[in-house]
Amino acid sequence: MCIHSHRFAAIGLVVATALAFCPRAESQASHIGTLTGQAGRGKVLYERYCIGCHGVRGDGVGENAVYVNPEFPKPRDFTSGVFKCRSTPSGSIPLDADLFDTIGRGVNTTAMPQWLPLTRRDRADLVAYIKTFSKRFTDEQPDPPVPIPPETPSTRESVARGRELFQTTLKCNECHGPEGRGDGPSAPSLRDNKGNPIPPYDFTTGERFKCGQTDYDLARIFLTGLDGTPMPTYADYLKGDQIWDLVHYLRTLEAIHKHRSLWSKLFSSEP
Amino acid sequence: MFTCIFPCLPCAKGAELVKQQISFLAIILPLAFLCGARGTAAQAKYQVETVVNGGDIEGTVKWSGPVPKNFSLPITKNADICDPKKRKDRSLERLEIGPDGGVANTVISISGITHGKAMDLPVARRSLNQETCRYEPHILLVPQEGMLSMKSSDPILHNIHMVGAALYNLPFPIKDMVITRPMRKSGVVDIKCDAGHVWMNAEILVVTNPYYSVTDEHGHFELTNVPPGQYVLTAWHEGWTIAREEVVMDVDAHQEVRRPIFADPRTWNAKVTVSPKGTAKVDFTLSEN
Repeated sequence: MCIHSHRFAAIGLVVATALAFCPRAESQASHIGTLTGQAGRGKVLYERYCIGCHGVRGDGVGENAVYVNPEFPKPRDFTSGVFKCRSTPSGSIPLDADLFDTIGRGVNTTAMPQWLPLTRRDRADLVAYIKTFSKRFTDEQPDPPVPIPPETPSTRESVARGRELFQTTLKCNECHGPEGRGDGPSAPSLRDNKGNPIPPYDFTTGERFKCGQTDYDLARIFLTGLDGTPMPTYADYLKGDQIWDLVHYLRTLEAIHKHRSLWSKLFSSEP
Repeated sequence: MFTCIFPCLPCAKGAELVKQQISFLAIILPLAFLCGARGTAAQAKYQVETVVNGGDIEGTVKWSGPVPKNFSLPITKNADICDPKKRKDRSLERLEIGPDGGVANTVISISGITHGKAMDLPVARRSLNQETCRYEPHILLVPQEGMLSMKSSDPILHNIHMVGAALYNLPFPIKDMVITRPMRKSGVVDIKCDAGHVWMNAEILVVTNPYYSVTDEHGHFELTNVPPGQYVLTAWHEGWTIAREEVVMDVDAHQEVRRPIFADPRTWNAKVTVSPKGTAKVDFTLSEN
């Protein structure tokens, strides 16, 4: 009697002690401003809302993934730890706030919706759980966000300088086309990191960008690039006010200017 | 079998207690190793020291059997810059075999070496140029935490899109402008150009010690000033056969595109003994099988 009862108790104790050393997925946390997200709670939400597309293992092959419109990018594979929408430089993991913003904002021109019905706390918990899918979040630290200078006035001269950058100096037209319609000569061969075709953004649609809606969001995309896609970082080339020259020119390509201030209010990670 | 797993004092006496302690350790240690020690059991850090009576290792990498056809793709963009010799297509340089059977672009290293000379890998192997829509060199060696230097000698847009141990995606719209980035993590990085030059490819190896050599066009390699001792020498070569083709939908052209996916890199090992101030000879033979 003594032998068996003590044996089972002892096995339980030994395993529990050993597991205490294990880095458990549920111990991952996220920090967004004053919010702290917990992966344990995020797991429950993930299995309710995200698992259909992103999959049990977070590898982007959930049972619904095959039904995603083939002209959309596939659901994000979290195991790679590579994310398009970041405030950090190309090659770096994102900040927790970047992932938080993406969940609330959704990713336009993809099947990823805006998860605004979830509370801020829910979204913070989901960020913590999503980080458990990639070792990058335990092995690496994010680089500091790329600095973005204050926006300059949009003038005729600024737009002209931006046009020169787009059409000649930086050769953005190679992918995005001379009129920014996403039909440049390199467009047909573009692939994401998974080898799937990915079209360049068509500026003439006036649609939200994948990573935001404001001028600052657009400037940030130029500086960080969209990792996992062919869009590289232009941080080495855009100096001083040049980033705003480019933004001002690209805004002139939009056929429809949609209202932007509401978006920025809704999707900001600031409380 | 032991009668108790954990010291349960009422039923434990003498030798029984010793058995219990052993059985406890037999369970807890492997578990602790698998879990708590998982991250710390990584390869020992390389220590730089003054090498006394160091020896050299040299040899060749040769091909055996019929020489396979090198995979090439048609030059479909910027032919005036990319194809000055009007060849119409470009080899992907996945397997370069010379007339003497020497295999170029094979990386030779000493497996698990823990101490030796200071980093002295050639600067040319961490300086990447894009010229006539080709990466030069095709195989790069960058010390971990070292800087990779990149530029484009072509007056057209290229980008260096990395996947693997580094994940930078850097454009090169301005001719001869040098861009540098630190390579923080050891491992292999595949690079490609997204700007329509689908044949451009190269490999970067981010390494933790200086005992690496890339074979020349004759398949020759040399490792110098190696501390005397016994080692395992490893030859690494990127995959050259097409493992499969992915059929993907080209969104803009609305047609299917067949994209080759190359096989994983291959490695070969050989034992070598380095004697003081001696030169050890090691030859590798690569083949299709």
